Amino acid sequence: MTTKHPAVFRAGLAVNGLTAGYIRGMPIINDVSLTAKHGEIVAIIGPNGAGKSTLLKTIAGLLNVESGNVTLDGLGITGIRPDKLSQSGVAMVPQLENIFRTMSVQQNLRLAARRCQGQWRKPVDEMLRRFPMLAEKYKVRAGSLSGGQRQFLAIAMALVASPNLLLLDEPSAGLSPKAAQEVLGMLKEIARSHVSILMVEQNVKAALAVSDRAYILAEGRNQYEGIASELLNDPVLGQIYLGARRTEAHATESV
Amino acid sequence: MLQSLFDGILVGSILSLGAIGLTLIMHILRFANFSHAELISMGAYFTLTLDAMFAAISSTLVTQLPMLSVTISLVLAMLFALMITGILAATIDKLVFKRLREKAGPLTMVFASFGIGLIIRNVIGLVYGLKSTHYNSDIAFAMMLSSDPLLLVKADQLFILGITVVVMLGLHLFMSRTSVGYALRAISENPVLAQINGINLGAMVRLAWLIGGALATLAGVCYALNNQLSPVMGRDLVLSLFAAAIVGGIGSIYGAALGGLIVGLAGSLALLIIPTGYKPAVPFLIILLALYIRPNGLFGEEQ
Repeated sequence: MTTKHPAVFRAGLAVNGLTAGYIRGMPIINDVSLTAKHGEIVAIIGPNGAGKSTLLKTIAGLLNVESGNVTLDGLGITGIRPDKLSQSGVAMVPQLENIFRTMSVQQNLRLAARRCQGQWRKPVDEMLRRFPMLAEKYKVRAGSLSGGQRQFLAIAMALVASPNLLLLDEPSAGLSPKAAQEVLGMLKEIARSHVSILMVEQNVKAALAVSDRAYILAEGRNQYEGIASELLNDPVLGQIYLGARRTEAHATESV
Repeated sequence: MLQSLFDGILVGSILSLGAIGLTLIMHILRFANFSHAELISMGAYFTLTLDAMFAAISSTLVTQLPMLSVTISLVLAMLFALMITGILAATIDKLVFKRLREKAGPLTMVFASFGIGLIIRNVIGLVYGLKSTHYNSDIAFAMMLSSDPLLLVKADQLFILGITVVVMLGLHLFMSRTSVGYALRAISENPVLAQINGINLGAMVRLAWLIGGALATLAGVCYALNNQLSPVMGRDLVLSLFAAAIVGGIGSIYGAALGGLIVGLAGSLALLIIPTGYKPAVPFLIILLALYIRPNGLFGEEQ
């Protein structure tokens, strides 16, 4: 289990040469490496099928690692069961199905607060103060919430146990522009409490606008790494992300 | 009509007990477990053996409960059988289904469940013989609660209804008030999300088998008290159990409870308009209707 040290001593997340997939011998991500320091927001961007979500699931312990390793604050977390990992400071917000729809907001938060090992009321109350719209819907069935409210509930569930690392899979997917802006805008505030945030996001411009650094993943491999604000203005990003380079290459081969 | 309603509720409550375990396992492990109905037979026969053992140990245990044909030894035997069947159900999962989950697909597990079901049924036949039997050979007389419309009820039947109501209430409180209950519901609804919220999937799967096995035993004992013990009692109930789980919505405990009542009532009320020989077709019809009108069942979530 990760011990809570002062932020300055903590190394954050380090992924080294990670190879993993859904079927052994058929990896989706190959030799991927990245870091996310405490208080840092790191975006992972890339075309569809690049393995971005697979990378997050692997870090969260949901997929088997074929090679490479993951460390959090210097401690190896490779191959640890997801439930154990979640109690060790790793929280994840999946892209879809990220709340328990048949349960109330209260039950969702209480369930997530199991990771606090003991008292659930205090951390749940803290989340209700942080997300007032959830306090208003406390007894409401989570399945009846709007898309934005669901996403805030999912983030509150992830934050309720004060994680060291927050993994976000497409946090703005399916949201209205206003709700997406609110969700992404909140990340800065979360990171200020020394949480490392690793975010997969299709909305590249919005993701880079709130991120400190970014990695571009394509065909399951690291393709590019840089400061988010620099990548935002880099023409290479557009070429790789939009697949222009590959399209050109294919066209040349065809000729 | 009143008699049919009572009989339907009685059979339905027994089906509800069996269907709850089935729906939990079906939803968590994503496969149709055809061997679940055999847990009903298994539990009922374990109770028979333990009842005989307790009765042999002490004659005071053979004392019948007031107005009932049920003895103290039978109640004790049932309590032990609940645990034994639950543990055996979890063991079968560990030895068979867990290995297949890791290496094969859901269809393989369905066929394996057929195999397990056949093995259990035949072992019961081998050990206890193929003839049907009773916990108590005394004739239980029915009380006439109403003469017009006619309503004949045995004290044992009221005992069965009482047990199912108490168990359902207990299960409801467990599921809605305890953190383990929340965890079980969470695993049933979304195993991946549950795991990343700190819930141990393996432990919850074992708990689901334990609960499923225990409730199946209870269903088996209640069924045997109302009818008789037979090695094929599980096979006879399997379609009704699936109908109850499907009508209620796969994964929904409350749905399975309501589904059981609907199937029980439909089967009983159908006898008012169709000949008895066609009764086994009723669960099929209910499954077809449920899939046609509401494919996710009454309480099921869209997948």
